[in-house]
Amino acid sequence: MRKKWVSALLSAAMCITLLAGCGGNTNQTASGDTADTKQEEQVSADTQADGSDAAGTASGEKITLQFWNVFTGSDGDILREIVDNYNKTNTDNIEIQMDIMPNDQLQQKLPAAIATGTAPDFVLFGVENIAPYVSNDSLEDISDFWDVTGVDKSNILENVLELSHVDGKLYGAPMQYNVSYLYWNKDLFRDAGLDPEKAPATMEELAEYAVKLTNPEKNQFGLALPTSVTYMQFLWANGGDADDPDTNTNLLDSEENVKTLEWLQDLTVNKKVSPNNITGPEADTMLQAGQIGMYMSGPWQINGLRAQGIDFGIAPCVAGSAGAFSPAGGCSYVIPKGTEESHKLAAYKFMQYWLTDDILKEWSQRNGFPVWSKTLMEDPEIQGDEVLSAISKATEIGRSYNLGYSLASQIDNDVMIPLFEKVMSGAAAPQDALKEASEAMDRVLAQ
Amino acid sequence: MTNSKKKKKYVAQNQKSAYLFILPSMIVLSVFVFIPLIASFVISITDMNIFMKDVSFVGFKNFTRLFSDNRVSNATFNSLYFTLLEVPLQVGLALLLTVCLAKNNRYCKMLRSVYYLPFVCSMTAIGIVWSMLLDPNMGLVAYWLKQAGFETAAFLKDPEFAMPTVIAVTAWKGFGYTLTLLAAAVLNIPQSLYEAAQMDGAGSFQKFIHITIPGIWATISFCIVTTTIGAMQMFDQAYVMTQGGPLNKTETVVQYIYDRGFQTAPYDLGYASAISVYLFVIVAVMTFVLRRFVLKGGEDADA
Amino acid sequence: MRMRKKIGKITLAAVFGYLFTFLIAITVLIPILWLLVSSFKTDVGVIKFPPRFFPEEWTLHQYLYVGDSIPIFEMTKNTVFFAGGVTVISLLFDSMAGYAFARMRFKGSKVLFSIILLTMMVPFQIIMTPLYIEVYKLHLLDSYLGLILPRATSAFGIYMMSSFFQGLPKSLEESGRIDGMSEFRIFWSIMMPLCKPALVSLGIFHFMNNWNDLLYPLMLTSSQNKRTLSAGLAVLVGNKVIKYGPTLAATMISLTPLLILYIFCQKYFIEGVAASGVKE
Repeated sequence: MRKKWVSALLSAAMCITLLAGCGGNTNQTASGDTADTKQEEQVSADTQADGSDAAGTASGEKITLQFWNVFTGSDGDILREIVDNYNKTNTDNIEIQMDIMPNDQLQQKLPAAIATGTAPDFVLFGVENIAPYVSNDSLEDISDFWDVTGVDKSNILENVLELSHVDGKLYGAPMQYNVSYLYWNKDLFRDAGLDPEKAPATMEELAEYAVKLTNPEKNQFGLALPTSVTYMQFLWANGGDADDPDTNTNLLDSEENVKTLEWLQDLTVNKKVSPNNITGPEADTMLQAGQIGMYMSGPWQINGLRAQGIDFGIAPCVAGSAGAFSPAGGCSYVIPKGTEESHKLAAYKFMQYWLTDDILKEWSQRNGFPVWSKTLMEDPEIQGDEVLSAISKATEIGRSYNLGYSLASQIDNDVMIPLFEKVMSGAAAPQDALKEASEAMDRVLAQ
Repeated sequence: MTNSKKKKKYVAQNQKSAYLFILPSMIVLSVFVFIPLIASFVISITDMNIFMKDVSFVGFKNFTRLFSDNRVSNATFNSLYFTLLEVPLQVGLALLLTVCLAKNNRYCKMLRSVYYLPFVCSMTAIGIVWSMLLDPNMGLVAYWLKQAGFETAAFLKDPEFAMPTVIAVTAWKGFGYTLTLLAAAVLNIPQSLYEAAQMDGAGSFQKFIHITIPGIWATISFCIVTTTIGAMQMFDQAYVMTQGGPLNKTETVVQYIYDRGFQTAPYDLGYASAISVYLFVIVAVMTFVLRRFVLKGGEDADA
Repeated sequence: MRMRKKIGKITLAAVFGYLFTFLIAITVLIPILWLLVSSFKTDVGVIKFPPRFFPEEWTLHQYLYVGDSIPIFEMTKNTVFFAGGVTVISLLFDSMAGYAFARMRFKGSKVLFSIILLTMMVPFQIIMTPLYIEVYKLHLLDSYLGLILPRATSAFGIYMMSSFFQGLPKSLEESGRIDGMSEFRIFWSIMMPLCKPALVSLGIFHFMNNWNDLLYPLMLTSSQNKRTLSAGLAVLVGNKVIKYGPTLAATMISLTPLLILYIFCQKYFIEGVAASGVKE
C-alpha cells in the first residue's frame, strides 16, 4: 500500500516538473536550448558557431538549416528542386535540409517543437498561421530583414507584404500570394451553347450559366461549391461581411447577407447545380475529370488541369451589387522563436534568394501563381504568358479577410464554415442559419 | 496442515517473481502512458494552449464549459451511436461466420485468410479506397448500383447515411480479425465434448449453445471489450472519410478533442484535455459495466 | 425417412453457408483488388468518368513518381527497425506481464491489472503532446530508441496474453515446480512454446499497427531520413491537391510487405491453437 502512494507521488512530481519545464520555457528558450539541442546540432554539423557574429557565415563554416514546410503536392516537387539547386550553388556554404509534412501534422508538432527548442530553423506555411503564432510569442520578429539583406522592399506589392505583418512588425518573407479564381471548362461551355471565351461576370450570370451547364444525365454539374470552405467573395459582392477584426464587431446579421445566402441556397438546393456535400479535393477531381462547368479555387488547380488536358479559362470571381472581391491568401517563410542568430541570418540568405526575380519567375511559370514583384510584372515573358496574365489580373480584386487576427481560424471553423454548410445543404433556412451563426460569432468574439 | 503451509510459501515466493515479471511493462507504461496521462489531467484544469506559455490554473472552468457545449453532446451521441452499432455488427458477423468456418479444411482456411486481409491494411488506405468507391458522383460502386437501377443514398455525403457507412466500413475492416480469434477458440474446444453431446442426442444448434458458446466465452468477452474500447476512440475512419461531416453527423469525441487542441486556433489544450478526461471516464465506466456483465454472463454460461 | 430429412436439412444449411461466406469474400476482395489494379492506372484513368474497374492502359508511372518523391528504401528500413523492434520487445514484455497476471497470485494484481486496462482507453491524441515533451527530455527525439521504447509494451498485448494464459490447463506449471525449475524457466521453457499461435497473432497485430501508424512516428521524428514508410507516404497526399494516382501506388507499396508477411505467417494462427497440445 505504501509503495503505491510513493509511486503515485513520484509520478505526480514528475508530471509537475514536466509542466513547469514547458511552462517556464518562455524566458529560457535562448539559453536553455543551446545546451538542450545537442542532438540537433550534431545533425547540423554546425560546431558551435555560437551565433554571435554573422561573419562566421561567410568565412566558410558549413551551416545546415532545418526547413519544414507543408508543400505536399506537386508544387512540393518544384520547391524541392529549387532548394536542391540552392544547396548546390550557394557560396555561403549553407545546406538546407527540407522536411515536408501535411499541414495538420505540422500544426501539431511545431508549437511543441518551439516550446522544447527542437524547432527547425525556418518554416514555410500559410499566412493565416502567422497571427496565432505571434500572439503566443513563437515567431522571430524579422523587421530587420530588408536592412540586413538589402532586398528592395518597394519592389513588392503592398498588399502582399501586408500579409506577413502583425501590428506593424514583419514576421515572414513572402513566398507566394493568391486569391480565389473562377475556373471554367470551355468544352462544357460549348456543349451548353455558351460562349467558351466569356466567363460570367456577375452573380446573376454565374447562376444562369450554372443552370445551363448542369446535366444530371451525364453526371455533370454547372458549379462546384464544396462545403468545408467559406464563401466570403459572395457575401462581400453584395456588400455584406462577417466581422471587423479591428473593432471586434459582429457584422453577420445583415439584410445583404440574408439575400446572398438565399441566392446560394437556391443554387444548391433548388437548382442543384453543385454535387452535394463535396470536399475541395473531390471537386478538384471532378473538375479535372471534366464533370464540372465552373469552380472557384486557387492557382494550384492549374497544373492538374493541364496534366488532364482540360481546356480551361481563368477569370476573377464574379461581382455583385457592391463589386467583386476575393479573399487573399499566401505562404510566407517564417523563423520560429529560439532559432540561433547565425542560423537566422543563413535563413535570411535563402529568403533573399527566393525573392530574386529569377526564382519568383520560375515559381510563377511552373505553378501558375500570380507575380507580385513589380519588376517581374514588366517582364515581357510574363506578360506574354496567357495564364499568368489572366491570373495576375484576377488577383487585383484580392481583399484581406481576418488576416493578422488571432481569432480567424475559430471564426472560420466554428462560425462561417458551419453557416455555409447548413445553408448549402438546406439543413436550415438562411435566416435561421444566419441567426444561429451570429450568436456563435458573438461567443467567439467575446473571448 | 503441511499442505496449506506449503501453498503459502509458494505464493510468497511466487509473489516476488511475479513483480519481476510485470516490472518491465510497468516501467514502460508508467513512463510513457501514466505520466503523460496525468500530465493531461493536470492540463485540463489550466488554460494551457499548444504553445505552452503563460499557463495558469483555472479550476474546473473547462469542465463547466464542456457541459454547455452542444458539440460535446453531439460528439458523445455520435461516439455512442457508432459503438452501439459497430461492436455488435463486427462481433456478430464474426460469430456467424465462425459457425460456418470453424473447420480446418482448405476452403475454410482460405476464406479465413481472405477475411483477414482488410485488417492488414491501414485505416487510412481503407478510408481512401472506400471513399473513392462510394463517391456518389465519381465512385465505381455508386456507379454500378446506379447502373443496376438502385436508387442509392449518397453514402458518406448524406447526413443520415454517413455514420452507418462509416460503421459498415469499420466492421468490414475488423470482422476478419475477430473471426480469427473466435475460430481459434472454437478449434480449441476438445472434440470429445461434442462427441459426448452427440451421444446424448443433441442437435447442432444445441451443441452450439451448450458447448461452443461457453467454450469460447472468454474470447468473445475479450473481443467485445477491446472492440468497444476501440470504437469509443474512433478517429481515423472519420478523419479520413468525412472529417466529421456532413453537418457534424460523424464527429466523434476524439475528433472534437483533436479539433480543439490541434486544428482550431487558439489550440486550447486545456479544454481539449478536459474533454479527454470526460471521455476517459465514460469509457472506464462502460468497460467496468461491460466486464462485470459480460464476464458474469460467461460464468453463468459455464455453470 | 427421418434420416433423409436430416441430410436434406444439413445440405441446405451448408449450401446457404457456402453462399453466404462466398458473398462476404467477394465484398472483401473487390475493394482490395480495385486498389491493386487502380495503382496501375494513368492520372486520367484514375479519375475517369464513367469509372472502370480495370485500367484501359497499364502504367508503372505512379510507382515511379512515388519512387522519385521519397526515399522508399531508407523509409522501409526505418519501418522494419521500428515495427520489428517494437514487436520483438513487446512480445516479450506483454507475455511476461500477461503470464504473471494470469497465473500468479500477488498483492495488488487486480488493481494493477485494472489500471493497465484503463490505459487502453487513452486515445493517443490525448497524450501526444506530453509524450513529445517527455521523449525530448530523454533526448530520444528522432532516434530508433525513442520510437521503440514508448511502444515496448501495450495494455492490449498484456490483456490478450493474459486471456490466453488463463485458458491453459492449470496443471502445467506443477511439473516444472516439482522439478525445481525457476519461475522464469517455467515461463520460458514450458509456457512460451505453448503460446506460439497467440504470440504469432499478437506479433502480427503489433507489427501491423506500428507499420501502419501515421501520427506517432511523424510526431517523434523530425527528419525525412528517420521517417517510417506510412508517415513518409502521407507527404504525397496533398493538402490542397490530392494526387489520387500516386496515393494509390503509395498505399500498395506500404501494403505489400505486410501482405507478404501475412501470407508467410498465416498458417500459424489461421489453423488455430489446435496443434499446440492444449487440447487435453
